[in-house]
Amino acid sequence: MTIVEICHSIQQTGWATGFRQADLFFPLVEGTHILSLSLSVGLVLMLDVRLLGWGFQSETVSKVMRQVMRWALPGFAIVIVTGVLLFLAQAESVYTNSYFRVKMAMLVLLGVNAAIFQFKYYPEPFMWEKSGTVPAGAKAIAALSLVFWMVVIACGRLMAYEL
Amino acid sequence: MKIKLFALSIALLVAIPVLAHHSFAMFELTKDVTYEGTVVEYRWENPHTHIILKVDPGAADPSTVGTWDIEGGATSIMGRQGWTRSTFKAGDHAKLVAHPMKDGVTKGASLFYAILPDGKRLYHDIARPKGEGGATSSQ
Amino acid sequence: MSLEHLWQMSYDSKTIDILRNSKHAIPIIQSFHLFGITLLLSAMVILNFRMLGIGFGEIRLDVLAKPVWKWATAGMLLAMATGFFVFLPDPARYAANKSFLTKMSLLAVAILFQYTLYRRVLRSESSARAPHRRVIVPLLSLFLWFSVGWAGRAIAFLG
Repeated sequence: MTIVEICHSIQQTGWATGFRQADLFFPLVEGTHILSLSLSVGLVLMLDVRLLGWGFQSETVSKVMRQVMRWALPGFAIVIVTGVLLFLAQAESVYTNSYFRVKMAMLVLLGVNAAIFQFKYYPEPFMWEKSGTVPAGAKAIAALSLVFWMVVIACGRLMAYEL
Repeated sequence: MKIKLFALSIALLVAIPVLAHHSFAMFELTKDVTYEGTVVEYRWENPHTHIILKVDPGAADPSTVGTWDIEGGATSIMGRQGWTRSTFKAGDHAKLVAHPMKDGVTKGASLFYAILPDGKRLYHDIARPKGEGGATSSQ
Repeated sequence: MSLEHLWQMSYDSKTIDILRNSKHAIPIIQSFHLFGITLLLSAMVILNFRMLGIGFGEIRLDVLAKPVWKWATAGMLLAMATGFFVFLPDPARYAANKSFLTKMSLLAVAILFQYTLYRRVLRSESSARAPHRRVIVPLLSLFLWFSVGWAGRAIAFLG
């Protein structure tokens, strides 16, 4: 069975059809997905700002990261859960949508970006934190994070413009 | 640094349409075309209701021949205009007025209204912008 | 001159036609509208959670407020500027949409609240040696701004 065929069968299930036809529930899930960007992506922005030296210079990177993650982690959980629900309801339409594919590719890149930051720079934050300078690599990661998230959000919006 | 970042983001955003290979679903809102044929599929769902309509050769307007994806609005919006999940079903005859896609190639259109057997119009939405015979149209 | 005449000026305008007929312009403008909204709403989350005492507690309010207030304003201005250009090419459609009208009313209230009472409270708490936990003002701010967000979503789903 090809992926498209699997997606087709998911989209045809009673659950998926019911969800798509729901007058209130569907907009609620979609709206939550979009507005919870402010609880996830928007908060990560704070960390990117600190790494790029654009703000919160009086606070250590570790502290900013800790404060951000406290709420960004549940925020991302909401974005992901609503995203999965939206995907399952329209699996085939969405899987074959070019903008969706670009969006997913960007999310993978963002994951890799975050992993590099976590494993290369974060285990020893106290090393470079004491010196006060953020390594160039960490700055690059923050910059890419900003740009990639903008692309993800734009792709999400553009998905509606492809039949 | 900020300028380079800004430039990079603009470049990437502009690149998205290129990466995506497809054209936008932009509709010719000032053009009303009547599609008359058999309903292949009536998809009553969010975010958009879709009526897949097959127009046979020999139709009054030859440009409408083929199988079209005619896109409506959300279920609650269409519902308020009188549409229901059983307004149409596969096999029904339907006459739909819609705005075709700009690219002239993809068989997609944006629903304006359906013409029911008794001649009554079933609009897709209360808002009737220009080209939709609304308050601001000269039609 | 009636509103209908005003809207018709947009539909008759050749300049606005360029915007209206462009394949990419409106979706890209809408994306920037969403960037502005995300920036504004996350700024509100940060400041209000801090005042409520449920988040960002390790950072002093004045340290938070200095850059974050600017984000809120920048986000709001970006959202409003882009919002205008989404409205401009199709004014009759939006004017007939109840959710759009609700959104505009809520937006007016939110902006008024933000730049009067809210800013005063934020400033006094920022400069206080021992800022107290506020409840009503931050909750109202979150409620107003997220309601504007929801009303915006309702434009396409509720009409």
